[in-house]
Amino acid sequence: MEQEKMNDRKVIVFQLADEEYAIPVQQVSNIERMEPITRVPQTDAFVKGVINMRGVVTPIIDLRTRFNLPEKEYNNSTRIIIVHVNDLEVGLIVDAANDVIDIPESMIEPAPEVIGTIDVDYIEGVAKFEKRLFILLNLQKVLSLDEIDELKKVEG
Amino acid sequence: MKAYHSGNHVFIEIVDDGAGINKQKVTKKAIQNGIINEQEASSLTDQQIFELIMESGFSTADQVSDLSGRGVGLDVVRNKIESLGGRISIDSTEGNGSVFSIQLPLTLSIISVLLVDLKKEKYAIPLSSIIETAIIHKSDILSAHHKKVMDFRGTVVPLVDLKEVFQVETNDAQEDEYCSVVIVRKGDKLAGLVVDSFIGQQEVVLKSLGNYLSNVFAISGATILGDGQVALIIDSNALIK
Repeated sequence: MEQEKMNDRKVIVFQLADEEYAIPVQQVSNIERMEPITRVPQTDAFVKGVINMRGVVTPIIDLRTRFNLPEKEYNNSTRIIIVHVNDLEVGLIVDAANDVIDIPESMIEPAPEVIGTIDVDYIEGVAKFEKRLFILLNLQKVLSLDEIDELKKVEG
Repeated sequence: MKAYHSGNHVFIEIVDDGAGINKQKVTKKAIQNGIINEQEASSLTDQQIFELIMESGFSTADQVSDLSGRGVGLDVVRNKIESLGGRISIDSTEGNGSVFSIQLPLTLSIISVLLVDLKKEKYAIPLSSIIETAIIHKSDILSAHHKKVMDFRGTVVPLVDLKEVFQVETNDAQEDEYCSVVIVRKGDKLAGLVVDSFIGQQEVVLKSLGNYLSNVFAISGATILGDGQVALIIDSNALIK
């Protein structure tokens, strides 16, 4: 077995549309199947509502909507990934949870900057590893309400 | 120090055997600071005098330092206790010491609510803000300057359609002949919340929606019902202007 190196990053890999995203395993507390969601009115479109996570009311956001991807019906492979960021506990709806892998730190590159695309700061980097391309997310930014507020102002 | 619980409250008593509270000094100081005037001072009961020491800006300290003697400490204590729904009272005998009794609710989180249906969704309205419920005929709904109102025992009460406020999906155009209304109060203002039907009264455990959803309009929290479903608790104060 390959020795785990200190400079590896352990990540949870999940699927959204055709791409694979990765988030640090330390921030994930559990992965659940879909549960009935109670809608919370007058919130952002990507806030799907709240669920009863073993007695704890947990907000749920749909990452597809958050990343402006077309919505998709939930199916058997749809998962809710419960993440902890600072003092926030939030569930993320993803198409599927694929893998737990170690990505060597050296494989991680900053997000490619292309002219004409909106700079999204929730992408921490990309990693090409074992013929797969992973997009590493900065969850703090994904969940940050400030940025969303700013987006609203720009769109507004 | 003594602590015990009785009913729904916890009582904490802190007893000291110090000098006690000097009533004359307290009243004199209170008059000096403008908290009360001399007329009021003469009619105060012992209890009221002791409560003066918890007024904001009150201090009997002769020496004022950076921190102490500013008259903040006990004021903060009282505010904190009252914000938790508790009470503090003081009793004292000069020369024998003082007793501080603190009374706190045992739990902050169990409240009585009325569960209502809005289509397929369930919401809870705290009983503390409800005056009564009514089922009224469509023809009893009047219009005052394009706002729906109803006549409630002689007073005109504005109606709030919760399905509109909470953007509940409604697909059927046909409407019932009667509507269910929950009349709620904020101060001396009334409002009628229109719902689909009443489910019943229940004691529920109040839970927060988490830090991520801290500021949802007209929702003060959530609760988990017997079947595991999450129901949102309506903050009716936000619905009354």
